[in-house]
Amino acid sequence: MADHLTFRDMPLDEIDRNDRTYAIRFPFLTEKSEKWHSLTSSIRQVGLLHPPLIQKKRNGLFRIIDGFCRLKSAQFLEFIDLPVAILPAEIDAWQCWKAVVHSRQFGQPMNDVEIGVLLRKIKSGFELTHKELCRQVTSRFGMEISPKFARELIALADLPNPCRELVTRESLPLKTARLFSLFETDDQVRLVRFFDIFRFGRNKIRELLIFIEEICRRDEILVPDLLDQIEKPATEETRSLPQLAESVRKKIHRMRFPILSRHRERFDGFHSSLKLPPWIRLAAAPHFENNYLETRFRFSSRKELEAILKKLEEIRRHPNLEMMLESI
Amino acid sequence: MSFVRFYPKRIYIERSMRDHPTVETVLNNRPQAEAIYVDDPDTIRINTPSGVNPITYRKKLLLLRRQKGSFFKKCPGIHDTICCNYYILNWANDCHLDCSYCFLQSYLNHSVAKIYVNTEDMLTELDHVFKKNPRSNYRVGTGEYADSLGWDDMTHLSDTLVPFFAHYPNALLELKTKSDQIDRLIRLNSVGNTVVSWSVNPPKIIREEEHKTASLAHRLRAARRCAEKGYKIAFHFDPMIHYLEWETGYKSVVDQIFDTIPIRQIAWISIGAFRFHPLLKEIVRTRFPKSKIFLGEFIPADHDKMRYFKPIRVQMYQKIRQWIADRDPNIFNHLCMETEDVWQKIYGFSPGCSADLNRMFDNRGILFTQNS
Repeated sequence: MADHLTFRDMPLDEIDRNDRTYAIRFPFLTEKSEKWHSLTSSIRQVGLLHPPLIQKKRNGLFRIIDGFCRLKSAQFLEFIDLPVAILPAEIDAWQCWKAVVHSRQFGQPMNDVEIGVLLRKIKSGFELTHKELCRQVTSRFGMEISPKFARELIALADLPNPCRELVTRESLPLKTARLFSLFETDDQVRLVRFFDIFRFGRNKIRELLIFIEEICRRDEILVPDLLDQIEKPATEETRSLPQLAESVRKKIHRMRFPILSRHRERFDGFHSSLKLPPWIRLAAAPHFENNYLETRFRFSSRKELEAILKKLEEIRRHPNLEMMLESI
Repeated sequence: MSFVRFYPKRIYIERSMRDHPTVETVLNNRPQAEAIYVDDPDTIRINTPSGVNPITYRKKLLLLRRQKGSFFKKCPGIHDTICCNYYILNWANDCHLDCSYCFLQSYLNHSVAKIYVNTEDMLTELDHVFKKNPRSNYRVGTGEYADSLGWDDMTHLSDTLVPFFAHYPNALLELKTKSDQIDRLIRLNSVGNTVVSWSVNPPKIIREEEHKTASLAHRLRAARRCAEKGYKIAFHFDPMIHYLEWETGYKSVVDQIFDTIPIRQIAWISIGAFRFHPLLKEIVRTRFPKSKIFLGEFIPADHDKMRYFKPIRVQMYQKIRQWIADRDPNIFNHLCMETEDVWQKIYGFSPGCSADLNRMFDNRGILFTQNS
């Protein structure tokens, strides 16, 4: 393709900056972002080393194929004209997309949202089914994608911006990101606000998305109502953010598993009444599924062992031991 | 709500079985289906149309083929739970009914529903087993991987099986269903050694989760007709679902059973709470987005299954056992795939092992004619 390129300086006015046919970058570069500053200062200092790729349209203006951010920076820096690489008008859309993919393969790799946008644009532009889309991107770009995966990536690209930003910022895996699709658009945005307040990490976000969706469906309550109910009391507390986040997570867990949580809390209450030293551990089977209590202890001297045995004897006589045994 | 009969769109037939009487019966009963003959049924490739769920699509297809392996198998049960030493007759795989919780969705790997048509081999195999161990009792069910009666109007299998089992004093056939397809059973003369059983749930669960099945009222009406004909009847409260009004729902089912079926005709009642492989949840979310079945409090139990939190199971079992006992304390009931510990909590004893539970069945003279 390089053989077909023409390099020259071009007035900025001749480029249709509103034509975003080939734009896939996400998150968008804003004037507040760090990347914007570094790009702008680099262009200001040394100019455009890597000219944007453009192609002439039927109306005489040029469409950007690759280099949207560079053009935006140039415009911001009030360039009148700038160096560009021009693709001949007869180069077809597939070749243009190939140039987009090619450029990203040598630069910053595409994130899931960007791949989703790319697939969505190609799918709708060429009116392809998911299967045809996958065949095409595999053969033309060497991107091995299954139809199911393609569908999920496109669904990700269709999420509202706050969700896509969270997915990209936290590098959420696709299996987590796709959980947003279970919610209405307004609820998706509300959820992102909720996650942002408590700065939940990627594993917690996944768990909470599942639990919140299930609670709302089971109890037939609206997502904003549920989140208000959880969020308001928590934000009025004066604890540190990680402590608040943990208490919010526990609250949601309790709402999702009320019987299990009550059982666990009751068991824990009996457990604390035994006042066990840290070197003696007394625990129920995982999820109380089996009917035993497990004791572990550690000692490094005969004296310590005697103290442990004395404590175990105390436990044996304690009335709450019976309650604990009953609860398993 | 009525049972929806199975009208396959397409029937694949293993070419070597094309003249088999069972194939003929099925094709005669489903003349509208497109018949496709294949040399090797293992090579069938189904192209699911884009946007259609493969499981849903394959529910319109049927394969008639030879069973190359064994028809008669021990019920796999679950490790560490007490099983009832049951045998299964692998005459078909899959079912056109569409229960949201059906384990076959994650178990059968999206294959086409099959009927193994070489019934004569099945009977030979059974005859061999029953005669070889005449002192052992065999409870054999056809409802593990398919609904025992859901396709009976198409296969007429009960015409063969029921009279066959009547000849063996040490064998008992269980026909387990969620349908009300009993017309053929009613026409048969020899009904001995066959128990017709129904899996039951409250109407709300049937309506929301057991798609295409017969309503509770239809199931009980069918059960009553079978009881009047002389068949022993069994009920399976399995899978029990924990939902908001579960107590009212299940109590009403127990009452309706005892109000409809003469107690002397009830052979047993089994009880088991919903359990599932984690993979099923994702499948059901896609196929039945409105299903609330997975919104209960499940915990990962042993053997890769999710189960209701134990106190929930225990509470459900205790209640249902009590409601049964209130109507008749002598009705034989048992837990299905539960641990020794849960047995202890419900019955105050545990069969100890699967063999003991089997003996409990054997000791019920009403089941096996050789013990009566």
